Amino acid sequence: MKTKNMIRLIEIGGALLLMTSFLGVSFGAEPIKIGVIHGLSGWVAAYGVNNLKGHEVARDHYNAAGGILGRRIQYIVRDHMSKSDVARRVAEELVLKEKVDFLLGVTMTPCGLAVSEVARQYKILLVDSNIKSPEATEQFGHRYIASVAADSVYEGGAMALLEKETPSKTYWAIAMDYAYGHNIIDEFKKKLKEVKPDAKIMGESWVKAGETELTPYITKVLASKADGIIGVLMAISFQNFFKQQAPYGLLNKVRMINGGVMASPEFLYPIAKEIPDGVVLNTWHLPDYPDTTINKSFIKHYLDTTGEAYVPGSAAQSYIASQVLFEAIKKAGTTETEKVIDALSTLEVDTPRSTEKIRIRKCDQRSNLGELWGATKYDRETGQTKLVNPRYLSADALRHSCDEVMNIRAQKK
Amino acid sequence: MELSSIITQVAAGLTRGSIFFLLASGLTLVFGISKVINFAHGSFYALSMYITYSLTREILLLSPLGLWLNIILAPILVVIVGVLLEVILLRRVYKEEHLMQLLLTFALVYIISDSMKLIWGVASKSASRPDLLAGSIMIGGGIVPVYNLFVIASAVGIGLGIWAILQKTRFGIVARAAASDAETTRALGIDVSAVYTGVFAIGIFLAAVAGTLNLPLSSAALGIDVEMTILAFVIVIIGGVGSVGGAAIAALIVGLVETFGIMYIPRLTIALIYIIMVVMLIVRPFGILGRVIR
Repeated sequence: MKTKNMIRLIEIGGALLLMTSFLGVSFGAEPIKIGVIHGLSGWVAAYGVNNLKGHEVARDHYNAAGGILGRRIQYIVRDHMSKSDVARRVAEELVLKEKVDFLLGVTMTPCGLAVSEVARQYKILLVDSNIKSPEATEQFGHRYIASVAADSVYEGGAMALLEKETPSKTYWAIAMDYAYGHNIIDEFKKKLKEVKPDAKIMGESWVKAGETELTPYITKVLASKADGIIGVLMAISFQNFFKQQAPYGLLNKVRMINGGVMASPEFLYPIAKEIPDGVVLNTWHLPDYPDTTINKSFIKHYLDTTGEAYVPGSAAQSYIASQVLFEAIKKAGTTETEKVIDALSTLEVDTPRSTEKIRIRKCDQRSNLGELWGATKYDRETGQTKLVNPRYLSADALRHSCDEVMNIRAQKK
Repeated sequence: MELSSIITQVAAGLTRGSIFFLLASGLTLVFGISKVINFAHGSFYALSMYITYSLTREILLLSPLGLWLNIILAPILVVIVGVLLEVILLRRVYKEEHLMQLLLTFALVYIISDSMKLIWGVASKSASRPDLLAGSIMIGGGIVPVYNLFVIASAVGIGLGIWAILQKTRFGIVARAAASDAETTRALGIDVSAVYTGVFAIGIFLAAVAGTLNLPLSSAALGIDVEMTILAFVIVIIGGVGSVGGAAIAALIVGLVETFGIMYIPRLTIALIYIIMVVMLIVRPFGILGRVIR
């Protein structure tokens, strides 16, 4: 009788096991909980919503392959509404109430700094996709924040390097009137002195956030007779600048290079006909460069999952941030924060961005990943503007060295 | 500053002023006649930009016929939405305190904004100037885009049309009567609710035309609704509540101050516009031409 019951139990157990195998991938009981904080409402949603999609595609990709350490990845998403006090509040709620294991985010630097402070306070690792302010990982950097975004030191330096071989000698700077715009212009000026000492900045125009009327800036540049424009125009200001300059023929007379990672389809496609050929821009992702398996597979996966027509740059950026976190957990073999942080600096991961593997530098936990730069060209067949002759510039040679970072931190104390 | 630059800036300022006039005149009409504070006024401006973008894809602006169709079609579609909201929602708060109207229309801002986000997504939308109006001409050595002249001429034409409707038509007479004394007008057998709906439709039409005309100059993006509503209120206060003429003068002042301000004192431009509003509230609280339309 006992034997018969035992056999019956084994049969039932076996049947159950067989059934679960037909249900597809099975996970361990506890998911890995990750708090995701981005700006999902208001004007910043133009970035934040795409950021979230990138994270979600990464999550689905890894979950389809069995999760991490046999555990499903689960997101708990919060909207910071472009307010740093809300960002702080939702970060604390995610850590204290939802008991997340890690944090991903954060659109907008002020919100990112607020979340970073929560991460430091509660010793939870935040892997950031967007913060370009060098302060986030230098003056205010700490063990519990890692960023995959190339900072504004890199961006300004890259722009100067790209201008080195161009014929422009007199520049007019036109940039967004907040820290990011100022930082890039300052870094551009420093690097320009090194690489092109005979060039000069004739004047500067500072554009308020969300400015829609760019005509006065355009006429000012025209009147200056500068032969080059160094720009950090973003979002609607970026688009309206090109729309409004067309009848004045500004960019028929003057070359332009613009930072701010605006060469993503979501910003470029709406003004395809208005942006002239030859404007140098940067971006986080290109659909046809590099021609690597990982890039093609990422694009296919993203488009199939979302049903969208293109991959937004901010989605590609946050996909990479998710990749870094997931690979660090895998490498650590555990979700223990300190061990995952230790694993970060040993990572070398292929990304869709370039053939250079991403690495996280130990001294400031910012990645080596640079950006893609190219010149605009209108394609009559598709009716779109794309970047041609793209170049990937690594962040390694263009950012502050570890010694410089340590000096900056020492001075802050 | 050279004369050519001044001419270019003036043309740019008049263009901005024209868009502001269309936007603000709609708001001042609605507030002046039906006494409703519509905080969602800019939302209809934004909605028209998005609808124009979609229509542009189907009825190409490349053909002259396409342009005229879009200028009429997009605002008409927006007016239909606006009238539905007025009949279903706003009519219930005409007799309520302004705070109730503000709260209701504030809620509409978020509803319309999220609806636009759902339909058109978060990426900004743009349309090009039609080829017919894409060039520029020289006036006194200054470059003046042809499309800017078109916008200015449209605003003048529409402004005169509104004046004619209000002054020369039976509807206009009835609307002005309702603005002066709604009870007496009602007692004379006139359906004042229908008059208010008609005025609301005109107000929304004006905001929508502003949006349609501005799309080739400025992308449609998240947040533009609130920004334009606030600007419209500022212009209405400066010009005088209920005064279309006042709105015209105030809009031109704001347009020129904005354009020249950006040129010379960019960091103070927004403050300057609000300083003008504050000074007006202190010195002449009823605005430049502030009185109910007679």
